[in-house]
Amino acid sequence: MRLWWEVARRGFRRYATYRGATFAGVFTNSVFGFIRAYVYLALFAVVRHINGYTVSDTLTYTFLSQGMLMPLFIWGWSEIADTVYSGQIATDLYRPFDYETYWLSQDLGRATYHAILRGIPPFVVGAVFFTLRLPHDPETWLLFCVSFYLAVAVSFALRFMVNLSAFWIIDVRGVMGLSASVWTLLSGFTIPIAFFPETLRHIIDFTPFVAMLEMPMNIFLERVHGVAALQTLGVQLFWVVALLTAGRIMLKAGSQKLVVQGG
Amino acid sequence: MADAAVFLRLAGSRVRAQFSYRLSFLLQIVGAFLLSFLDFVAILVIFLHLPRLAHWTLPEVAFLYGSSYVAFKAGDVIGGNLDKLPLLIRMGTFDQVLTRPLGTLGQTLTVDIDIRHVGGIVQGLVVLLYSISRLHIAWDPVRAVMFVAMIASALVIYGAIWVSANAVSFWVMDAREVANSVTYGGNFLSQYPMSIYSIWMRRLFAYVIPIAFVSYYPALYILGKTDATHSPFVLRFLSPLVAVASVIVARFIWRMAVRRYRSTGS
Amino acid sequence: MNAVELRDIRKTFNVYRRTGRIRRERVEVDAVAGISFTVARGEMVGYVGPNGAGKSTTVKMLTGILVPSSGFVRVLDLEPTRQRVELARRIGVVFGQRTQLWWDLPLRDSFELLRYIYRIPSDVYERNLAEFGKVLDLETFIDTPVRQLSLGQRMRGDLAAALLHDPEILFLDEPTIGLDVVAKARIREFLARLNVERGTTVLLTTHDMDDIERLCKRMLVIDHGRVIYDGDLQTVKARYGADSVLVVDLEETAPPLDVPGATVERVDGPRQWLRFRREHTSAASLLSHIASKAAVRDIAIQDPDIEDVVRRIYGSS
Repeated sequence: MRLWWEVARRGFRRYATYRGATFAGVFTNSVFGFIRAYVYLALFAVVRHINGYTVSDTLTYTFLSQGMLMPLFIWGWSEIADTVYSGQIATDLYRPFDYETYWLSQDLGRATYHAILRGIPPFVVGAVFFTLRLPHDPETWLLFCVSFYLAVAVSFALRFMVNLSAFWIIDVRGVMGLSASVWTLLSGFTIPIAFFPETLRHIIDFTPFVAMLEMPMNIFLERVHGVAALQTLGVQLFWVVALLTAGRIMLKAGSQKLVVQGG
Repeated sequence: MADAAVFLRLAGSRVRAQFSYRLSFLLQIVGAFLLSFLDFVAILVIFLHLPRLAHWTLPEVAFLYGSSYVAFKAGDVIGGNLDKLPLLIRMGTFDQVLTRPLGTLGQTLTVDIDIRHVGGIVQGLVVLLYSISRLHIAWDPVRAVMFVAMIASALVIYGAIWVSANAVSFWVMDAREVANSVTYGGNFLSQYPMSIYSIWMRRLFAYVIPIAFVSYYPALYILGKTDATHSPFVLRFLSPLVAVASVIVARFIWRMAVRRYRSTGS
Repeated sequence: MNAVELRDIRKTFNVYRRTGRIRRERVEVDAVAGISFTVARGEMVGYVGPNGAGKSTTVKMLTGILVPSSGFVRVLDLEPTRQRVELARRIGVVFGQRTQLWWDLPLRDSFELLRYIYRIPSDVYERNLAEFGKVLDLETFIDTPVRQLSLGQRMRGDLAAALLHDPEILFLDEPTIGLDVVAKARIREFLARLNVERGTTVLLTTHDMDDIERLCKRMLVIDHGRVIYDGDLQTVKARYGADSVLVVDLEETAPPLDVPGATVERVDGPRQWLRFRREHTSAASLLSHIASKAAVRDIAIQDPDIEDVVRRIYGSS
């Protein structure tokens, strides 16, 4: 446990060096938040509610999801794929600790850094210029925290598998771009899932992608309370366990291929 | 002009190099085509809930989206690798650019040509054709010329924005993402009618970063719409002029950037 | 007419040093602090110095990449930064650590592109390609993508690429860095020939003293942004002396060996370090002296490196 804590701390620190990039990123996330916000303002100038969402719910959703973009690290993480191509992974796999847990810990550390420096600022910018909705219930904050880390774990597990596909595919960039775009749509980043037609919504609800963004949002916006909130966390946890297990199986298959073919 | 032939040759060699991985390349084009539709999904979902967004119908918004997207992705094929300027600088590729008897901008643009964006161009065209088929535009020679001028100007304006924004890398290496907020951000903004934005955003994206001239102003004329922002009527015809002006500005910024590079070496 | 003329050239960079958590301090650093020299046409000059001495910065100012902070610079009577394109047509540049070839194209295609970039007349192109192909032995790998070439092959390709347009001056920045002995020899032989047969002026930076010894009659030693020596290698050796060191591993521990022409510098168990001058004593004669006194298991010779030479020039002045 102590080891994983240290790994997570290193993950946190690793990203703390890029100051200029952090500022630039916050700026860009905020700009996109603004554009989206005005689209929704035009939308809600005509309709009052969409599936329970008011205008301030939607704006809150918009800026919070801009803030979660980096913590979830949806785009362009290829560190593990790179080690597969360089052959470095063969050595890494024989280190005396669990490979998947190592990367998960480091990713949670990274996400914590990104949550503080890339997540909160766009939300604050949004709150200065628009009326955003903060949770009424103090315990919502705690539930959201838990839900946030579960969302990061889900996103990590998905990214982990995409990276591992490098064992079988010559160039993972195609898969990476494709999956990132599917995630941004189906997690509710492009537009809240609640805005989709009902039948589509019911299908999307059965995918792990909603556990990345839609679910933490539902908790933050207090669309789910009490037992329902705990149920939401339960579903997220289910996806974390299921996807991490799938990743583990993939890693095993991949490393076997490595042993058989010698890379 | 003779230089242009050399740049074409350089670009051609980059394209050919990509064809060598045929399957992966094809998959990526198809992927880019499908993925860029996801951008349009947001617009479709919004129009599930209302018939008009700020007095614009779905086909009208699709017209804005399609014309802007075609030009943006075409610009991305060439200008997209300006994203990699920090890398080119760090690897010393830019030093080499300076030792060759050709212009620096042309060389930088042809360092890489990302032909995968063709998928995006096709997608933009599909949306554009859908919108035109639904719109009953009163086509006449002026509108037809304006339409062509709109796409051409949009391409040039995007190119100028790519160059100007990414030249920032010469001053601040790791601030590349700021450039994204005007390139990708500008394209995203142009997909909706300008009238939905606040006044300072409209001014910023019309007079400083000329995104409004990419599709909004010319589209007002072609579609025969009234402008809720009450902009001067003449703006609808100014896109080609704005395109020329942005090229002049972009060249100036690029020159300053190269001058800075040559005095600081970084 | 001079190929290169530099008068009191300076290049100052701003370096930011972090002084507190956020605060930074601007420090001006002279990468090149007032350099003057000229290179005549047809000369072959070695530009040597330790890492960070200002070698690359000088080359970058001569090739039009960097603008000097002050001073006068002319290359082929052109002002490098203001007449960059004109100058680029008449010079060749090779940076040893990176390639100017297109990594994903066969070598031949890179040449072909350069032919258009430099607008090389086809007879010149054909003639040069044929000649370099033969001399540098490019034929075996000219159709291989550059990324698959060995470092030595790539360097040969880079040299040919830089010379296709018949440049009057060739600037080389560390052309032999990272190469093995055979590859180094090959490159040196080619450069020597180029200089003699075509009369191409060559300015090469290196910190490999062997490059200078085999190639350059004249060398410029630079350190801390200043030229501290301008002359031939023999004079440096004679005047400042550059010792070689013979390291011998004896079968058993022995007192310091007493050998004419060498002094024992260090003893560590059965290993001894003997300092000697190659001009006065040969390693072979040293060895036969030693062998007559003790059983030798192994030997190694360390030749003086550029750091040694620089240290000695300082030490004597």
